[in-house]
Amino acid sequence: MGQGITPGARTPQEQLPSSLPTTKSSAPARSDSLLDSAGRAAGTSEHTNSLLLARHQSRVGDYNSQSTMRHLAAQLAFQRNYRSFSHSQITRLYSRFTSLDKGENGTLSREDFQRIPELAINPLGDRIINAFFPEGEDQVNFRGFMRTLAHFRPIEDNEKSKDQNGPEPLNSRSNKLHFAFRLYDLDKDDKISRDELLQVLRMMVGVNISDEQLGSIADRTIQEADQDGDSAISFTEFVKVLEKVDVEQKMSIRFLH
Amino acid sequence: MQPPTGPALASAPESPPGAAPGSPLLRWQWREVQAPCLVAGWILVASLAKIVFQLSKKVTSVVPESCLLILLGLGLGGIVLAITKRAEYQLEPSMFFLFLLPPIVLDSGYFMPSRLFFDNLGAILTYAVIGTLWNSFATGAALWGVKQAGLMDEGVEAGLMDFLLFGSLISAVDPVAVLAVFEEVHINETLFIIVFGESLLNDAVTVVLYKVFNSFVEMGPAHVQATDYLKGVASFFVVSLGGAAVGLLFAFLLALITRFTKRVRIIEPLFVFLLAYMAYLAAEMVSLSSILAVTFCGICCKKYVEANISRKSRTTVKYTMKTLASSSETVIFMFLGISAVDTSKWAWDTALVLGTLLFILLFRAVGVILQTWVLNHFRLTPLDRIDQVVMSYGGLRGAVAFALVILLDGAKVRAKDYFVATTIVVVFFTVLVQGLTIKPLVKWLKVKRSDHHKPTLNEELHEHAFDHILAAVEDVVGHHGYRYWRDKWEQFDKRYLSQLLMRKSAYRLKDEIWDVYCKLNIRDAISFVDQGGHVLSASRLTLPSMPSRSSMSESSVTNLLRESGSGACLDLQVIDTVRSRRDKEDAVMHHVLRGSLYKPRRRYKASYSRHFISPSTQERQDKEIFQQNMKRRLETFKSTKHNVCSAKSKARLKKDGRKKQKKSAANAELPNGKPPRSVTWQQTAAVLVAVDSDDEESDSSETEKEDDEGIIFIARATDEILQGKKASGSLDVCPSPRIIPPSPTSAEKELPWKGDRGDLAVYISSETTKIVPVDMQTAWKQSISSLESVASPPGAEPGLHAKTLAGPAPEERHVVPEQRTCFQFPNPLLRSSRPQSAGSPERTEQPELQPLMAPDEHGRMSTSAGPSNSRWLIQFNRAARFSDG
Repeated sequence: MGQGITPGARTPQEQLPSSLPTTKSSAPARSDSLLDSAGRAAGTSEHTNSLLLARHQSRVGDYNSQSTMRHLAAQLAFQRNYRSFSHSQITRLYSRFTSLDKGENGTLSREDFQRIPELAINPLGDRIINAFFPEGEDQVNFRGFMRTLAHFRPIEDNEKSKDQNGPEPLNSRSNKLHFAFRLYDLDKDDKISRDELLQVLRMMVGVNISDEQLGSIADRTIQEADQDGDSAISFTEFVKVLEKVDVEQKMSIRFLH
Repeated sequence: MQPPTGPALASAPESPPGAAPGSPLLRWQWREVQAPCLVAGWILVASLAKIVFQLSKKVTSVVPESCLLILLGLGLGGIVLAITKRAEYQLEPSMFFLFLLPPIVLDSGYFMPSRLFFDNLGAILTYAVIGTLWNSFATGAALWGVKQAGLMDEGVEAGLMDFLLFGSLISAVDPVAVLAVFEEVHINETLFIIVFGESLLNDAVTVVLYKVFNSFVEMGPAHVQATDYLKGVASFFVVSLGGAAVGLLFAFLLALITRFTKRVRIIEPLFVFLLAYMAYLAAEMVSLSSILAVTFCGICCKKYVEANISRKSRTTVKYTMKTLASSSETVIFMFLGISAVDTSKWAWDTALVLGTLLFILLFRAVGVILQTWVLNHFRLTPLDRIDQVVMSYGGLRGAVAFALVILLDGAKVRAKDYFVATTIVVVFFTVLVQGLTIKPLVKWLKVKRSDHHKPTLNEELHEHAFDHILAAVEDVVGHHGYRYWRDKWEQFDKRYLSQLLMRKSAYRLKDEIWDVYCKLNIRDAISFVDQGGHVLSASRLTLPSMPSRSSMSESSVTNLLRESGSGACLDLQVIDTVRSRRDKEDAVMHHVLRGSLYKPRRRYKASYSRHFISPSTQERQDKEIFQQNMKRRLETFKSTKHNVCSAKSKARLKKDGRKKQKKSAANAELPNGKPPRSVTWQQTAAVLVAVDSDDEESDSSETEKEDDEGIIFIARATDEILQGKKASGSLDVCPSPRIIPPSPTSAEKELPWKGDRGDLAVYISSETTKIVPVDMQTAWKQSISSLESVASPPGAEPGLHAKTLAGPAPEERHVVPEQRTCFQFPNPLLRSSRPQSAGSPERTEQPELQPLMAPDEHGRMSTSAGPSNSRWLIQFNRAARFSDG
């Protein structure tokens, strides 16, 4: 990519607002966005600094060179969110990122994701691809890539006891749940409506189940979760209904070291 | 009374007190019945003891049943010893391995939560293989060291090989003991599956080590060649993999067989037991690991078997299995106690006993900690210290070790008596002391308990979504982890295995989310009855599956469970869910349904295929009605839920109710003489019960509790319809007109519906199911099955499958004669099962909701059916009468 600014490689200031979750009301969403807004407000905070550095590196240097990459990895690792990705994990993920990046412009497009054969047969594949892209964008850079993946990092013991005041890490339970929630919530109104649920159901069940059956499943599901009687599942209700599920485990994967 | 002088058996305490020998009138034939009588007697004693134990909740909440049974065995053994002056009863190894162990292993394999098991397979295998190897060698070597140090009595004549042999049999964690103790502790599932899975899978290691060392001892250590060691290693792989392969083979056979048992429902459950037992025996025969064979047979066949066999068979399998396992377990523990009394085989050596106890505890702990340390590098959720403590402490030894030590050849293993005594002490120590203390320990350590909540639809759905998400993320990351392979397996299973091993009907309907949905519906229906099915006022209805309101119904349900639940709940989830209650509930449901259902006037008759026939106005109307009903139900439900019954909705209900009432007025005068239920208008609403006419699928059902006014059955043949997709070319086969059974009982009214699946099958398209109020189909199944159980003997079931002329399965045709002989309501069935000749597309346009459309329908029906058959005319007249009424 040698020379400069590609569509995805924008300054952090530009990117931060757009990467804010658009959900407005729910607490987890807020905590998610707190992270960024805190960094933005502080301007000179380490967070933003490291970002600036990383971006700078990516703009100026050879993106693929080993040293730059290591530098970038170090910078990324410094950030709170990614601090727990180990160096080797970041290196590994970065090489995966570049191998996916067929355009070699430091960003991934939807096509890059769609080229992954397994995703094509994953019922929720497209939704998940979308989840990698910030609102309204069709490119995702390494930072965004890592940011999405950070949701799936297992929660480690030492993180459980971490200070409560700090921004919630991306791999917290509620952020994991929120990630899943956003897959359902297409219109971003912080509610899973019946239609939205039906769409997901349709993707996930076989063709043997009729629309009527699906409809009754959807109704039933909403009934089960709905507490305020609006015939939709809000994020709070979503969390509530899954409170007995070991989300920490079921929404985590082991990133290789 | 003279008990026989048979080899091993003398007076059983419960054997009938004597009659005079040689009496001319009665002859004392004890000898002939001796063996079975003793068996039955012992089982009876053990079972009675269980009842007695359960009388006191206090005792059983503190002391595990296995401990009580062992103590009881000690007591009984003491009595026998005091009477006969010699120990008569023993836990015979052959009896143990051939009869007592298989049911327990099968039960645990069959009800193994397979997802959990395979999720943790890595850890389980590590502990089972490495852990057991480590334990055996470490214990054996350490004991030998003690011996070398001169701490042991001179009488213990054992070399290194003897100690290793002893180590191999004493170090295996025992599935029976673990199960008995842990099922009362309720630790979290992951921990349980690891300990329990280990205890099952270590059998291969134990068997191999035991055999290898045994042969070494017999050969004499001096003659052991290097190749023998190699053979030992090789035999481990042969024994374990071979055992698993035998299990898989039989699982495959079993699944395949159950695919074709449609007309021999009554012996369906038998196949499960027979094939599993054959697997056990086959593995035993070629000296492979029989426990592995049965375990894998159980795990692997379950999915297909459950899909293939009927609901009643499923219940039968489940309860029979539980009964067998529970009684085996009981007998095992009791006999362990009895065997311990036999001091003639004892030879006590304090150093050996204490050393063994110390070493097995110590090495188990060390092994667990080391392995966990390694495993935690690979596990998503590491096992923490507390888990490790429980795992170390939960390494119970039991009857397997005892049986193995009894099997030793006293001539070759000269220290056998010492080993026997030590084994008994170890078993007693682990079962009694550790079994007693593990519960307080778990409490004290605050080990995460399993939380037995019922699965909700949301959980099922979202967890599915989680799986997909994770699989996708793994793909993005490019790391082919466990989920990747599971995905692959599932695709393979879906594409090949399931197609091969499942009935088409079952295969088509297979969807987990849908399954859960059906289960939930059944549960709702059942708890509805629990709460007093006759109190049908809407304001008192709740949906128990909703977390917010579940407390009340749950408490009643748990009470029920507690009374009926067996001690041996091996499965973590299933027994707590609906199924275990179903039997009981079926009866209740039956009565409720009979009391409150209005019978349909006519069989539901409609075309489901929009490909062939454009939807008639009636059909559309029906659909609308259905949708209205559904809507209303939802509204009713909501108002109930939030305890706000707005005037508006009330008014609407009223209106709808009135409309409905009119329709159902006709129903109310059905000739079964049942008066309509008197209900207030506000509470009335129609209940739609859609029918899946394939009784084998009848495990899912739903009743609509909000409604009271009447129940409109909508018959539909889901399975056959789905099958029919393939057979849709056979349109020339014409559907037979629906026939109302003349007899007044409800069963008669409903059963004939099932006969006409064949008709429906003709008009199949993928869209057919859309028409039908699917969520309600299931209710029909439940009612049908309960009715059936009363109305017809199980053998009659095949008859219900008659008439699937258009169905894809040719074998169904010859059912027709069969049903004549066995079905109890021959008239309607015979008629309906007549080969259909004149198919008319019109038939397919018949409406879904007969009560509404009835008159029109009848008219059409008679025209289409024509005067071809006088009997039909009679039928139509009758039908007309219904509609007039």
